[in-house]
Formats: sequence, structure tokens, C-alpha cells
Amino acid sequence: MKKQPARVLFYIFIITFGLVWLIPVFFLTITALKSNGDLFSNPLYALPSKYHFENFIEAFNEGNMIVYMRNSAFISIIKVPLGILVAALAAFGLTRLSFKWEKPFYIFFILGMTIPFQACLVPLVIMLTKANLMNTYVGLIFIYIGFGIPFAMLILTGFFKGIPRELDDAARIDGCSDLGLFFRIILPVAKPAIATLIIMDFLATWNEFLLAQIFISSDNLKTVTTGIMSFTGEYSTDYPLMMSGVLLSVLPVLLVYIIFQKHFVKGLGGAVKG
Amino acid sequence: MKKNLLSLLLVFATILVLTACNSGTSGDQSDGVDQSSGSNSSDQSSDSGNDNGSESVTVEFWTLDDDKPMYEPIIEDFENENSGITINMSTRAVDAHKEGLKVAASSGTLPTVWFNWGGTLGSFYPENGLTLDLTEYAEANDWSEKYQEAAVNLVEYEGQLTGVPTSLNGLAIFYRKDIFEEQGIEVPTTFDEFESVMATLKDNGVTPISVGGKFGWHTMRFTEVVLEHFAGPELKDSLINIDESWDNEVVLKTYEKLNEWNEKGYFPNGFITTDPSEAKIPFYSGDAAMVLEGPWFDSNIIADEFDMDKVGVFAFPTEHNPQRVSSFVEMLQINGSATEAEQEAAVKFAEYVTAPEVVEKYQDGYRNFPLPRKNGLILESTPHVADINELMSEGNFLITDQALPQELVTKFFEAQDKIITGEMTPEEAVDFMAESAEEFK
Repeated sequence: MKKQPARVLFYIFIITFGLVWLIPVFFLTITALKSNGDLFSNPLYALPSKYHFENFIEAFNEGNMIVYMRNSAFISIIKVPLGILVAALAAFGLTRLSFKWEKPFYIFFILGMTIPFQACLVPLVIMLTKANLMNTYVGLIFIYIGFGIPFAMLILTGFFKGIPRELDDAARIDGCSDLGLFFRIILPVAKPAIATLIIMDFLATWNEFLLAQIFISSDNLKTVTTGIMSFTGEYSTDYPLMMSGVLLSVLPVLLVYIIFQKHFVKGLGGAVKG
Repeated sequence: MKKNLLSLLLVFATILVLTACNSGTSGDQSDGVDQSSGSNSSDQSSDSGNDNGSESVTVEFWTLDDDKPMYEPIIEDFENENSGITINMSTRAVDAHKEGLKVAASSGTLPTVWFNWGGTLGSFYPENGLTLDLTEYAEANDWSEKYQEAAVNLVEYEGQLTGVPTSLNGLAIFYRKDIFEEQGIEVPTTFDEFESVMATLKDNGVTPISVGGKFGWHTMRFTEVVLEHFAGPELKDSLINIDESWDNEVVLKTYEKLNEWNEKGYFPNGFITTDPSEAKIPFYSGDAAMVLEGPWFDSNIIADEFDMDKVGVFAFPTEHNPQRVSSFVEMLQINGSATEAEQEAAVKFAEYVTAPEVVEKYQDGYRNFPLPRKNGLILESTPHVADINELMSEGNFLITDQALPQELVTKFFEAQDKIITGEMTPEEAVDFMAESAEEFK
């Protein structure tokens, strides 16, 4: 009974925070449903005088969102599992195979996180141009995988270290090879970490802008973020269409989060284990 | 286990091959890179696929997303009329385009032709020998007959014609005629009158001027015309060219005036963090009565479904003869390292874009009138374009963020912004600019 006031305060606190988080979504939604005239001639927080649901269709078709979303989905579907597989194999090698230079290699990989994208743009453009991979999905996927490895390794190495060694011993007694140990024991046990990475990596890949804007210039290869920027002009921005595009682009990320969210917090915990 | 692994690898390999094929069919790929020249220009294959039996030329063309709808039909017509020339257009948003060009310039992968702004924004490319000097071509092709003098002057940089002009823009005050009428305000013709107009508007609860100060350049439009007023054309040009020290009384007066207007509330509250593209919102709603914009603002008015009849235009009264308006050009620059055939095709295309017959045919597609040609077409739907054109014919100066060296542009923005936020006094701003200009020199 004594706990009641604390509970009420707690609920007031989280409801307030929830509202703060929802306000931008509310503005996003009402702006997406307005016409340009309505947006500019009425207060920003006013509800639409007429609901323009056709903005979504226009953003989807004329705004080419369908193409941009397809491209982002395609890149993410290839990049996320491939990147996680590469990082998981590296983390497995460093944590389970009694590797002599484990620490220096681990630090070498993790240091990759400190390298800013901007510093690498020119050499990457030269490399991709020579490899004839500029303005292609493959070129962008390679770069995304490279930049994604350090963070994925940070999460996975931490998680793998927390898996009891006895599991390895038992597997090896049963005749498991290194790869067998990786695919049959370590990966299934590391499901929460993998699920966390899928969410975070998917989000990062889906939202990535800087690299996509440099390495992709064809309209039919553009990703969601660079595509949405097309609504921003030199002298004006079509806010209703842009907001419709943003709302549409959030849906796949939301879907991925809903599917994998039950593992999310559990997976993050692994990263801080010693 | 091995079987599983093998299948997994095969799946990935297949996907990669498929993606490579997929992206390769875009037709926009940067293939055919001319490594020897370092330019990412065009496929110089010797396919004799055209009617004349001559070599086919592919022109890589980078421009803004905004221009895509305008260029698509023009490119189609151009290719039909010039068999053997293919234009591969790629578009990006404004900042992405600037970034992409800088990276391409640093990595030797510039396209054959690209959109750029004039002045010091576009001068990086001729400065570094990356563009084709069009001086001889212009003489041979009567540019003085075809293009407005202001447009040709504004694409010139250190004696070189650095691009083919595609638009010419002047800045003027767009004002709410209905608000002026309601409050019995006449269009000001002197600086003092302009200030009293602002005072009247403020007294009647209307913010005089709407500005989006977020990136500095929108506020700069006011700073530069006030400087023009106090300094006059000659001294202002000397300041901009850093021939005169910025430790000057006229600079102090300019900054004091900016500070005074800000303190009197002549700009909207918190405007320093407002995006320039949002400055029009209080103008449309009637909370503000004036904005300092260019000819494109008519297109915005149409797109934003605002009443064109409520809007008028006048030049900022600098009280000098000539009454100069801030102006800038946009142009297409040609890759100096491209082959002669590519350059020829690119210049031909760049000129074709503003050719009178093409403009006549696709007039509704152009987003940025007036075009830089002499006696260019002006649409009835954008009445203020003609007014600004007329104001520009009296006199013009290159807009400050293209006239000052880019290193100093950021200092110029910093000084004016810090006066607004109270981080600098006008005197400190003068010292700051003077030191920055001296250091640069």
C-alpha cells in the first residue's frame, strides 16, 4: 500500500516521457497529412484543415519512395547478415580458438570505430572507381560491411566471452570441428546478441546517409535517406511529401524492431561482460 | 556441415553476382573511366552507332535533384537531335552535390559536366585547373550577343570563363502588399524610409522582416545590403576583394545597425536557428511583412498555394547610384581533363539547355527564371521575375558568400551571427573580421 505514491509518480514520469517522445511523431504525422498551402498558412500545430492521405501515395509513387525503399531493403538484407557473419567469425576466432595475438587484433578491429567516414571518402572513391564499383550496390555493401565490423565485434566478442567454456569442451568431446562449434553451439547461444545486432545494424544501414550520397548517384539506385533528401530543393522543401516519405520509411525499421525486440536488452548486456 | 557452409557461400556469391548485374543495368554507372586523364568521363568506345558513322560520346552529367524533371525531356530531345551523344544524368540534393563534387575533384573522378554556382563557390574548380576555360569558345560563338552581360561577368573568374551560365538571380525585398496597404505604408525609396517602415510595422504588431538565420547566408543578405548602403559600391567592392581593411567605420556602422534592428525586434524571435526555407512561413501567415529573396520565390508562392496578388517587390534602398542588387549565377562547368569530343558535346549540351526554342518548348519545366539569355522568356505566372530582372539591369554585385573567399565567408557568418546572439559587440565583430581578412591576405 505504501508503494502506491511511488508507483503513481513512476507512471506520471513515464507517461510524460512517452508524450515528449510522441510529440515529434505527432507533428510528423499531421504535417504529412497537410497540403503545402495548409502547412504555410495555418499554425504548425493545427490539425490539417483537410486530410491529404494521397500524400502517401504521391510520395510512394511520384516521390519514388517505392524504389528507394526497395533499394534500402535490398542493401540491408544483404549487408546485415553478411556483416554479422563476418564479425561473428572474427569474434569467434578471437575468443574461442586460443589465438596468440588475440588482444592486439581485437584492439586493431575496435580502433576502426574511431575512424571517421569523412577521412576515408577520397581513398574509397578512388578504390571503388578503379574496381568499377562506384554507383553500384556491391560497392556500397562492401563499405558498409567494413565500417560495421568494429561495432559488431565489440558486441559479439563481449557476448562470446560470457559463454561458458564447458560448452566448447562438451562439443569437442562429441567430435565437433571449429566451424561446427561456431554454427551449432556458439551462434545459437548468442541469439540475443545477434538479434540486438540485427536491429542496430539494420537501423544503421537503413538510416545511413553520408556514404550513400557519395557512392550512389543514380536515382534508381538511391537509398531511402538520399531519396528523402530529394524532397529538399535548392530554394524550397516539400514538407508534406517529405514527412509522408519519412513515415513510410520508418515502417520497415519498426517491423524489424518488433520482430527482434524481445532479445534486444539481453543482447546488449553481453557487450559489457569482461 | 561442410555442405551447409558451401550452400551458404554459394547463396552469397549468387546474390553478389545478381546485385552486380542489377546495378550494372542502371546505365548511370561510372564506367569507362579515363584513368590517364583522371576524369570520370564517358565511354570513348569506338562504336560507330550513329548515323554519321562518327564515334559515340557519352557525357556524364551531375546536377541537383531539383533539376531532374526539367532536364529529362531536354536530354531526350538533345540526344535525338545529336545522334552519337549520350547524356548520363545523375542527380543529388544540394549539399550532397557539393560534397560529391569535392570528393570527385580530390579523387580525379569528376564527371564531364556538372552544375555549379558562380563566384568562390565554383571557383575551386578553375583554381585547380579542373575546368575548361570557355573564353575562346565564347568569342567564337557570340556569347556577347546571346547572354546577358551580367551573367557572363558572373561566370568569369580570374580572366577565365569558367562555365556556361544557366540562370541569373538577383535579390529583392518581397513584401506583403495587403499589410502595407492596411497600415498605410508606402514602398520605401530611401534607407531612412525603410527603417521607418520597419518601425511602423513593429508598432502595429507585425515583424518587419522574416529571416532564417540557421546557416548564416540568409542573414548575410541583409548584412551585405546594409554594408552596400554605408560603404557605397566602390568601398564595398574593395572590402570584399580585401583591398581595404575591414577595420573600417562603415563595417562598424553596418554591424551596429544589424545589432540595433535585432534589438528592436525587426527579425522574428529566435530567427538565428530558423531554417532559411522556413522563413516564408511567417510571411505567408502575415506575422512578417518582408523577406529578401530571389526570382525563384515566385515559384515557391505558386507551389505553396499563396496568393501572388498579395506580394510585391522592391529593391533594398541602398541610396547609391547605381542602385545595385545582390546577384549570382548558376552554371554548368566542363571537365578540363575530358577528351575534346566529350568537351565539345558537353558545351553543346550546356548551351542547348537555355536555347530560346528549348525554353519556349519546356517553359513550364524550368524552375529558375529568368534565364541568362538576352531577351529571355518570362512567364506570366511569375510576375516578379520581370521586376527583379529590371532592378538587376540597373546594377548588380556578386552575392557575398560567392564573392568573399570561402575561408572568410565562414568568418563573415560568424561575426554577424555572434552579434545577433550577443556573443560579440559590433566593435569586436569589426576586429574579428579585420583580423580574419588580414590573416587570409
